Amino acid sequence: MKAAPPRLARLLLFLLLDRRDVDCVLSDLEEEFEQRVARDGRRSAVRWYRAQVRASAWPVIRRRWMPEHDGAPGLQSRRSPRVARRGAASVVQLATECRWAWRALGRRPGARILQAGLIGVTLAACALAFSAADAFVFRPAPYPNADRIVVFQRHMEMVGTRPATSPAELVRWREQTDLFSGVEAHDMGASLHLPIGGVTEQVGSRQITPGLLELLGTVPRWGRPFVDRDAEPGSPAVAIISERVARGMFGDPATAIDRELSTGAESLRIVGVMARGFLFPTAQEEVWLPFVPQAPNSTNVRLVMPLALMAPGMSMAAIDEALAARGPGLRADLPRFLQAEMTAAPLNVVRRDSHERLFKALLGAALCLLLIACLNVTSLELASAVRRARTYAVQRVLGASRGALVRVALIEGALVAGPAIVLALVLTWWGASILPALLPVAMRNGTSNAIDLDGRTLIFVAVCAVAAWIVAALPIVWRASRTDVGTASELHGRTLTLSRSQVLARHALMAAQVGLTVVLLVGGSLFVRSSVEQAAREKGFDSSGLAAIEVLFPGHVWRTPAAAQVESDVLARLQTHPGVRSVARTSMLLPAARAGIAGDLQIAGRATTAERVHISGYQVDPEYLQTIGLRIEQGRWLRADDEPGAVVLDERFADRYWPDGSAVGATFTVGQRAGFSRGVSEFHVVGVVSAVRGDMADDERAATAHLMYLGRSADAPAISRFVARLDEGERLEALLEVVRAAAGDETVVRASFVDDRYADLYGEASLAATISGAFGTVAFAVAVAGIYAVIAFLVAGRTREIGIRIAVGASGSRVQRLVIGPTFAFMAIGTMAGLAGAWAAVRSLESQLFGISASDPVTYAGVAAVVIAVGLVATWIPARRAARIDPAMTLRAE
Amino acid sequence: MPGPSLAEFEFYVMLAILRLGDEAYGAKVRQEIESRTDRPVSIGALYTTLARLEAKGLLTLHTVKPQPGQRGKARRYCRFTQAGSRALQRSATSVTRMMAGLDLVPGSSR
Repeated sequence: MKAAPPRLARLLLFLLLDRRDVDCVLSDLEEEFEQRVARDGRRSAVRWYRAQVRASAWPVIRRRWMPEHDGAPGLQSRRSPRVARRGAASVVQLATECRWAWRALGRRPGARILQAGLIGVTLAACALAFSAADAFVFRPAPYPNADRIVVFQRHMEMVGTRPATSPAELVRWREQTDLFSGVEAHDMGASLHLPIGGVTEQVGSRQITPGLLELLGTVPRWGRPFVDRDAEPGSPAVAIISERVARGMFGDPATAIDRELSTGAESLRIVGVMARGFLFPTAQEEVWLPFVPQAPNSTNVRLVMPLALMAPGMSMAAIDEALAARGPGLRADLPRFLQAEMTAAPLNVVRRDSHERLFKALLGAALCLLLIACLNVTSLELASAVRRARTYAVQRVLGASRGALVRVALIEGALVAGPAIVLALVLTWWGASILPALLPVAMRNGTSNAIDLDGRTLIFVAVCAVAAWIVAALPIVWRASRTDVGTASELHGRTLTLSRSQVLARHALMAAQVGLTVVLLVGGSLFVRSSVEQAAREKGFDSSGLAAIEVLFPGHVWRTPAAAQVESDVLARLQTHPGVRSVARTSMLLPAARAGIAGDLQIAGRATTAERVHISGYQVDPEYLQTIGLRIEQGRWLRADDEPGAVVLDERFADRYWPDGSAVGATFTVGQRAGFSRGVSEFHVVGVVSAVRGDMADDERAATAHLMYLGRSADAPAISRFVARLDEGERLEALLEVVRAAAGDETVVRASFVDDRYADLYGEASLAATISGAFGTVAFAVAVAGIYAVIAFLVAGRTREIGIRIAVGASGSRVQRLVIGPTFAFMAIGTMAGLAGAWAAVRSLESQLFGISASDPVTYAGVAAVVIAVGLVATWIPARRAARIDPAMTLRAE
Repeated sequence: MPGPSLAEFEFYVMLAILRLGDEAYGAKVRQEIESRTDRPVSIGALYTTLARLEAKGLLTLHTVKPQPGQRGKARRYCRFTQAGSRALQRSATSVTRMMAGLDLVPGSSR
């Protein structure tokens, strides 16, 4: 087989050559290439070919675009000779200027590589921060009807505002056809283990009402959407899957239709495949299952997440008005806790609000970091610009125009920015592929947009890169533009002295870097301290090896004897399973979301005014104490023979209302409502246990939130929850299999370790701490290096002056003060400005901090002290060198 | 009046064409110069020089391309014009006179 020359090199030559020479030149090269392959081997021949193309490029360019310079007949141009000459001259000029810029770059390759690396890394940080902020905050939901979709929200007193509606309300809102074209809902699904591409992966699923996809404005690319009969009890189980899952399991997505999808618990028939890029509600879910929340006339309180499509011509204001007017009537017969007013908010607003502040803050921090890097480069280039003044002056004398020098400077900046952009894109692409996995689960579930290197991120990178390019090239461009032919005659000394304004400019840049660094360090320190504070707090129990298990029953099984039987079966299997040391049922898992009741606390025998409190009540088995590992502080734990209403309080609750330690034996009520168990009107305290961290009761902002434990009611559950203490090394998957076997095909089973749930609870704070801490550290290192470089340069620029001062009697310490004094002043200015900026910036993030105030004086003072101290050290080193200048050598050099 | 003069590389190209005779086309000329002068010669520079020599009237260039369906490569053959021959003669004579008695090349002095 004939060896082929390297394609890229051949293509380049093909593009450059005069049309009349193309065939012959390429044939000649190919002929010799084949000879060399036979004689020296392919690798050598390829090297030779590429060398030929490189060496031939300039001659063929001249021949083709500068025929008059060559004296050879070139391509007949359609342009006028004058235009052709001007165009050709521009090309030649540009090529020459590129060579000059490359040569200038080559004088300090190490410094340029560092600059490109610094800008590239900080640019990548900005791109990743933007991509994440874009996914969570800026970009609307990726659905065609997104701008007309609203979410029903309900304000529940202790939980806050949540998208939640009961099945009965869903049906009733569907009847308001003047307001909504459609009302649908979705609910949590289980994690499925599917073989994708030969590897078993954990894939998220979501239960959706049949019309939800059409409400979003999309349908499966292959197959069909769900229809009503798909969700009816007794219908064959069906599913819609993502394109990625379809390709991984079946190859061509079109062949996946009507194939079976085995989840272990059941077999699903695939009726549709969604196109790549469809995410609902987040990137985690790739299998969608049909469900109907409840029978139409039921008031069952299993809440689902609703979505509604505004009817044509409807506005949010009209919908708000209608909700306020019609809402009370539509929920009149619902349970009391569903009487809270329901509001509607656009889907995009709801998605954005939960993470807006955090991501905007992180984006701001990343841009700060980029600015610090650019200022650092600018500061160093200012030094270089002074050294280049003589070179530019000589070039002007030799005939270079000011415009040419400016262009060379810009090209030089571009030659640094170019590799920086490439590095940034590579790092961003890599970072975007791993970032979603590093986010806390709750955050991951907060967006339907993917975090990736898309067009918007590329545009952002381009804008930042251009800005960085301009800032980095500015000093040299400025110097080049100001160079005069007459400057050459002025530059006859060996040392260049700096003018007052030049010194001031450098100090100002240094102060700006210090200020921005202080902002990042203060923010980073606050988040790190907050995260440490959270992690250091004792949980109040031993969480190692503690698993949390949930069994979600289908709606028609709720609160029926069948559910109670399943719960008993699951409990029995868990109790006898090897590897399970202890297990107990509970109504809520740790750390619990806000839930419970709110009402006026009235303690028997006290005349004090009732105080409104929020109480989270865990209905637990007697084995709960032993399983969780709580400590009895007073009294005793619950017993199976306790009367209804017997409770155990956590010590925070007990200390607040019975500070004299007399909680055991006390009796109290909460509001008019009859407690957590039906028929109970009073609670009787039998014991006090250690406080548990991470529950709503731990929230310092909700000072009236409390926790108590009481025995489980005999009522059948809607959701069964268990906590189990496992032996070391026991796998969660084994436990899941046991529970699924007992629970049956129709239930959804979920399990996780309590430690992971806690990590997720504080995941957002931990993420903020990690990122802001890293930014602050990098900024600090860059700023310190910048301070050292600037002071060293300033000292070098004042060598003559310092030499003269020493010669006339100035002491070493006086010289050091001369150098350090102004620097300290500017560092102090920068630090004060940075502290003020940090206070203004972090104030809005107060809610993200735990156990520490956004204006914590220790943090601010500590950062200021560290920055100034290290800055002074960085200044002292060149100052010490200045004090050792030999005046005789300095003056002799002049 | 003397005709156009030859630059150094043009001189080498003309000499190589003289040596190769009927087989004087791009690749061969390039290889000939490179092997005899021990300096790398780019094909682009060679073709530029050939075009320049043609413009000066010292060479004629004749391109032979294979017909569609035929195998083979396109080649540009070079032939001296009368002016080219005279220019080459003049350059060679000049160089010889300049080198006379100088003993620059071992074994070449007279």
